[in-house]
Amino acid sequence: MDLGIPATLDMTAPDGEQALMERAKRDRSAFALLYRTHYRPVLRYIHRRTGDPHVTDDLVADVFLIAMQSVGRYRYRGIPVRAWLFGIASNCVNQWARRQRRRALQRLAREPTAGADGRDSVSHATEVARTALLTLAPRYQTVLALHYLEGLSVQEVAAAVGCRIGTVKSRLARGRDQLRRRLSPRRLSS
Amino acid sequence: MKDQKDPVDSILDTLRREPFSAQPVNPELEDRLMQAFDTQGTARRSRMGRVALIALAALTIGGGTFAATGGLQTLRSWLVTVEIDGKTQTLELTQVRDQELTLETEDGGTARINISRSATVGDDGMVEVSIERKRGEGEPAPNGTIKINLEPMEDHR
Repeated sequence: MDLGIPATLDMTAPDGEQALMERAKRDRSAFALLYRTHYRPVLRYIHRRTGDPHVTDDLVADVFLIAMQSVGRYRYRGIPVRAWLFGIASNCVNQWARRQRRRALQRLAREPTAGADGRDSVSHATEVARTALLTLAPRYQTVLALHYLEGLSVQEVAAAVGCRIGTVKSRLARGRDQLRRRLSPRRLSS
Repeated sequence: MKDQKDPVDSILDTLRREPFSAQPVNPELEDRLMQAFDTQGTARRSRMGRVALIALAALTIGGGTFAATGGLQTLRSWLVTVEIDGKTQTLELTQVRDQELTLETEDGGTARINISRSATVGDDGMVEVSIERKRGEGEPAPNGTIKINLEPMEDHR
């Protein structure tokens, strides 16, 4: 769809994001630009957490519809817009992840060692890693994924999930500990 | 001794390096979003229109009720213009307390005008007030009662 607007946002422009967000509250082409700029990062984040392309597509649509409904209440506080969008995306994924957690625990317990079932070892390792992440409480999944996978700073993660920086650091540490325990052979067999 | 990588770092690294290929944008989703944006904008405008209509109706009904209960007359009686020795001052009247206005007169004295809250507007639009006037040298001038014209509020806009 050609809207006569640039396909991406010029992040080097001063206050480019803030101006875009203000325009996106009323201007459909500005919202389209917001969508085009952030679609792929949001898609990749959700895919990394779910691993399911269909679920990912549904959740991405939910994220941008929610963003459209709430953009009017958005206030720029110096945090990148992507953190705001990742916050919405995290809420959507976490709702899905809560339903998957028990299943993930069972699946992780059954997983053979990498390559033992003849599957490609890289994709198998990826699935095991994703399943291990899914076994954690969603609040730990969120901070680990946003910080280590998407590269958000601790401050950005705090803005995305709506908590203090100290809480994010604490969740990162606890999340890593829990993940380590999930990956230990004794835990897997129990 | 071989370095052992932290298994947590290892699986996070695995997820981070996962091959990912997708279109830069999803045109179908963009179309849906734009339709939703238009619908939401229409709904928002419609909602604002309803609010404005309700506010207008409330204002009309309130204004009508106010006028019907003599509110306009009350409003008119709030502003009083007094002219003594060529000097004009405006006094705001309320119905809850006495009003007082002190003017400096031409001879250097003062004139204190008092309008009682019990003062009523006559049919001719006049109200009785009491005035106490003192000359410049401090000698009291005879007290008396004069009539002061009430200015309709519209004249002061």
